[in-house]
Amino acid sequence: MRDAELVDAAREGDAAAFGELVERYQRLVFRVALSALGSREEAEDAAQDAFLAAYRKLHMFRGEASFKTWLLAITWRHALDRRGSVARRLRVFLSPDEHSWPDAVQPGPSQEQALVHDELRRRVRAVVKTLPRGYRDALLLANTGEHTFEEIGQVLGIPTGTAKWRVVEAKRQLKRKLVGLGYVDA
Amino acid sequence: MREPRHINDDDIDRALKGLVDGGPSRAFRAAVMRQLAGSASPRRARPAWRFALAGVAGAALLAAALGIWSLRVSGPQSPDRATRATTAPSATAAGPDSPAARMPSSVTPPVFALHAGAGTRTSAAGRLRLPLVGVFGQSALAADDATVADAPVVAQISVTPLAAPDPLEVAPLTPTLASAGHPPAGASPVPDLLLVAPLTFDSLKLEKVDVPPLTLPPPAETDIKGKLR
Repeated sequence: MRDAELVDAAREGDAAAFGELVERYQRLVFRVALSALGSREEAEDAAQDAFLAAYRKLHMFRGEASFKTWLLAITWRHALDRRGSVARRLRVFLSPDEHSWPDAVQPGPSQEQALVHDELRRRVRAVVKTLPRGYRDALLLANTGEHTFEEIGQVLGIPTGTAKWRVVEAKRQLKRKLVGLGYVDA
Repeated sequence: MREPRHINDDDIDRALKGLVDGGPSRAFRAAVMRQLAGSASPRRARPAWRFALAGVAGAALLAAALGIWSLRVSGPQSPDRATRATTAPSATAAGPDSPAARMPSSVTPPVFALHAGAGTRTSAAGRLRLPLVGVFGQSALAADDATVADAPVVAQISVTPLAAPDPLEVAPLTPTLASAGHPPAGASPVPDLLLVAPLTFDSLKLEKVDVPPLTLPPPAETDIKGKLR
């Protein structure tokens, strides 16, 4: 069933139809929230908030954009609200390690390689935090692998070209900083 | 010295992807659906025209309140009493938030002034239910002022609904209707009459009865058209 049909059914009070939309987009919504918040726990909370908000606002969805884009825009706003909250800033200040992007478990071909990748991930995570927020947001959204530049632009409220440029520039700055930390561009 | 590490774009992309990888917990969908069960359905969301209608109704109520206000301040006044009213001592004796304290000094006898107090609200039938305060005299007493209840009654006030469809709506006010007395010691020597009556009305007539001839000005009537819907 297409998104539009599920949306129509959900508008008529069919909770199961909305449940199908949740199933379809939960990973995407979660990753968008994670891009903004850097904490899995908070990302999950923000994703829940986003779905609830989307459900309440379904009558406002006109279908001018795709449901996916509309939902991601809502998610991003909720994540930003959460990111900007004083309570969160306080929590991050008090326990910074619990509020950073997680280390994903990526098994490598050998233990040595795994260690190398693990160290690189930690370095990258630390450097990404130092990037300007606009660049960082675009870069992380792009690296979810789920969005086109056009969608990133719509979520961030910037033109597609700007979104593309920010991703490229963020990557350039990231690489430059990594080289400054002793890595060599191969 | 530490040997430099070689990296390429793929390494960086892989590391970046690791930051935003994964998905929510398995219980995520169930949690969302559980919250949705207690949430408002999108069908029940209020359309914009309802808000517009509420705005229009609010404006109508405001206009009605202004109408009552203008009726109250447009009664005949005698210059000397108006002058005295501006210096009425008990106007300051009343609390700043009491309905009586908000009475303008221009309200003077022999006109009964009706004042919609702060507790104005709409009844289920749609008509306004107004805590009314009728003030007679230069000074006003607070509705909740204990001295009002304790003061000796020097006059009685009756309220006659002219077009109330249901007399029962007026009946409950009777016990609290007549409350008149002298102002507190040191206040104006002219007695104040204070009427506190929760009342639902379409059209209302107030009249004084049993007025002591020497202490009160001539009887007067005030009709209020309160078609408030």
